[in-house]
Amino acid sequence: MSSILKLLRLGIRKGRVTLRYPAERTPTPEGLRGRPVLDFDKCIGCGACAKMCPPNALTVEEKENVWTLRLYYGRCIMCGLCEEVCPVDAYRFSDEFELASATRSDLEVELKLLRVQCKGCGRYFTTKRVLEDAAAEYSELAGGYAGEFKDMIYLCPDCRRVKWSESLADAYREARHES
Amino acid sequence: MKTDKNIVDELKNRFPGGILKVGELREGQLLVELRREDLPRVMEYAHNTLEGQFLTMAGADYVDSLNRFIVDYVLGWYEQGAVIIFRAVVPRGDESFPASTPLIPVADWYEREVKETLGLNPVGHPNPRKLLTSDDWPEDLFPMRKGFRNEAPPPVKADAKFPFIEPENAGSFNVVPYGPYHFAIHEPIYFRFHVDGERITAADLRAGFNYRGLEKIAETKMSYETIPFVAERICGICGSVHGEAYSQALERAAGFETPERARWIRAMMLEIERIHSHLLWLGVATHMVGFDSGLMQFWRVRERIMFLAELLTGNRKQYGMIVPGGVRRDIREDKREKALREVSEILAEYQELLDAALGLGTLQTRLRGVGYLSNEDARRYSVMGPVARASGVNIDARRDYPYEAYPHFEFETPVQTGGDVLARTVVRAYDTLESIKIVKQALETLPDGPVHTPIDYIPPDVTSVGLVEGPRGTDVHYLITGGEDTVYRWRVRAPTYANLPVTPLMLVGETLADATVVIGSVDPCISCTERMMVVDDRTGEERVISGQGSLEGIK
Repeated sequence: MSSILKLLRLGIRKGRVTLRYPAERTPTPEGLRGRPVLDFDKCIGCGACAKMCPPNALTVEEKENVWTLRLYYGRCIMCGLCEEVCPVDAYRFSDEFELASATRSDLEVELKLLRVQCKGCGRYFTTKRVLEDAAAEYSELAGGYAGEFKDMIYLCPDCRRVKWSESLADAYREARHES
Repeated sequence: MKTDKNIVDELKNRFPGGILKVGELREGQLLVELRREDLPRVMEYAHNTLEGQFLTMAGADYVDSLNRFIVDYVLGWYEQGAVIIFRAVVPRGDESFPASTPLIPVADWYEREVKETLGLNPVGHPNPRKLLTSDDWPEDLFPMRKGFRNEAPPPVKADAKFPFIEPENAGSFNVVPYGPYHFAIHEPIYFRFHVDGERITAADLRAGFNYRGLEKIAETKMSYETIPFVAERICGICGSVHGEAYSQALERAAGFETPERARWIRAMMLEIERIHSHLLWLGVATHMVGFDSGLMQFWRVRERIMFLAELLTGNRKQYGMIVPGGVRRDIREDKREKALREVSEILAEYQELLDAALGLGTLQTRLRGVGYLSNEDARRYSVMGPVARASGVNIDARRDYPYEAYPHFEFETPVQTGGDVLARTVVRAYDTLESIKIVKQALETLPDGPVHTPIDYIPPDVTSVGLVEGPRGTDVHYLITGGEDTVYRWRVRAPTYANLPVTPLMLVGETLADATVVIGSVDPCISCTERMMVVDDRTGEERVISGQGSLEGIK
């Protein structure tokens, strides 16, 4: 059979394969890399996602007592690194992929969290939720010593270092005194 | 059979005193240090007499630490599976090196790029026009130097103009502009055809509209782990190829073995990408010659491949799978079975379509003898992939530089000797068939195990080359590792960078009506390349076309 007839037959047999999109659509497969959705309740504000984000779609701004995470879908490349690094699984890929919009603000998400002050020097150093999360983890890890160093987590890294060195020095002096 | 050591021995005999040092970087990759003044002679001998393929060339800035620059020419011997990096030192204060382009024209773009981006002057270069940067970019500002910061863009000069080559006797010739957007591939490139009637007598081209400085961004702002995502976005079609070539170069530098299951999944992703790319091209090519049923049918089959990719990776394109250390997503058993059924169906559908579409007499007549590239020219310009294989150059990085799981698969590399658009079409059509078979094999023999293991340590200052056979040819990533989790120098040589410079050769003597399909036949990927060249056949003689494509091996 000549090729042109084969082609004709193929065309007739297969018929129309295009869909009347958007009225008709194919189901999205499981695991689609759609728009990553941030769960505001879960996010503790550690900022790991913003550090990792290759196109800088995620940015963090720290100002006094407010920690702001901005997610701009216009820059998002749906790579899913944020989902991978998030310690509390706050990101989830959705099956939304139609992200075209006439206004930029439709593609922007903003999360504001409260920051806390250091009990030593008084500067704002991390979010309240990070501390709460750390406190929960800390009491598990520290076991019997929980009481002694409990205040440590409310100190900024600088003050914590100072306090840690001081307590080491105290312990050393005490040990020498006893001997 | 010759080995890489034999090649170096031959060079040593031929150029006593010219070769300063030979070091083995790793199996199959040698680093040969040369005297700067010997570069062109050694390159000519290695490329022309010893028949090495010109793979890439890069310069690196070591001014701050060592008070010098280096230029590296990378040549590959496919048959031997060998890569040799020829290195010469360019001292600070005398920022120049003798150009190899007068002896081996293939070095043209590369040496111009080094001049523009690093400020190392190739002395004696016959065509020192701009390649990548815009017409008004200052002559003394070099983006790839370490001291360059991209924060402050240079001022715009409104009167800057690119020195196009004008026809000698403008009276009898006419100039036809073609671009700056290609009609069919919708990418920015600008050709200027000198025509006599409707025959093209000379062609000049200007590229570089899409130079985004990705390599600079990677060196200054990215870490080893995030570069694959930038690498994937170099190209909208063969993203995985870049991700793989980068990962391969980095893993070689670290001496890292990828887990077995990841090697299978990587090969599978690369082949799925090749199938989609070739089917896309076959559709566009048939559309370019006015055979729109071909477009519809090829793309119908392609759509199934896109769904297959979506099933396995979550994305139709930019799979985001290949990262240093392995792959990011595993393939679950139920997905593997579903994919296997799908691939078997795609294979049957594609065979049926190929039989109907390529057997078409009108299509064959339309493509036969058009856009001829001789075997000699294909070698002279070190063209890559299907363009080389359609001109009888039997090279395939999957076979010759085995990587990932390819040694475990059975596949053939289609080679044609026609050198015309028909031959290139046949090579791609048959290549697709082989790829579908590879995907099938990969899914059938997928081994168990982890898909990703972190790389513990990446030593600084190691030079490495990653070679991946992409849909358009061998993609070469040249890499020097740096300290602090970032690359020191990363040079991407997409295959179109090697293939595009020959298009003027193919065009001269053709009619304007054929220009679209001839340019299209190298399957150019401009975003990849951006990172020119002129062939002017001012005699205006009609070229005798001797090559003929054939359909052997299809049925």
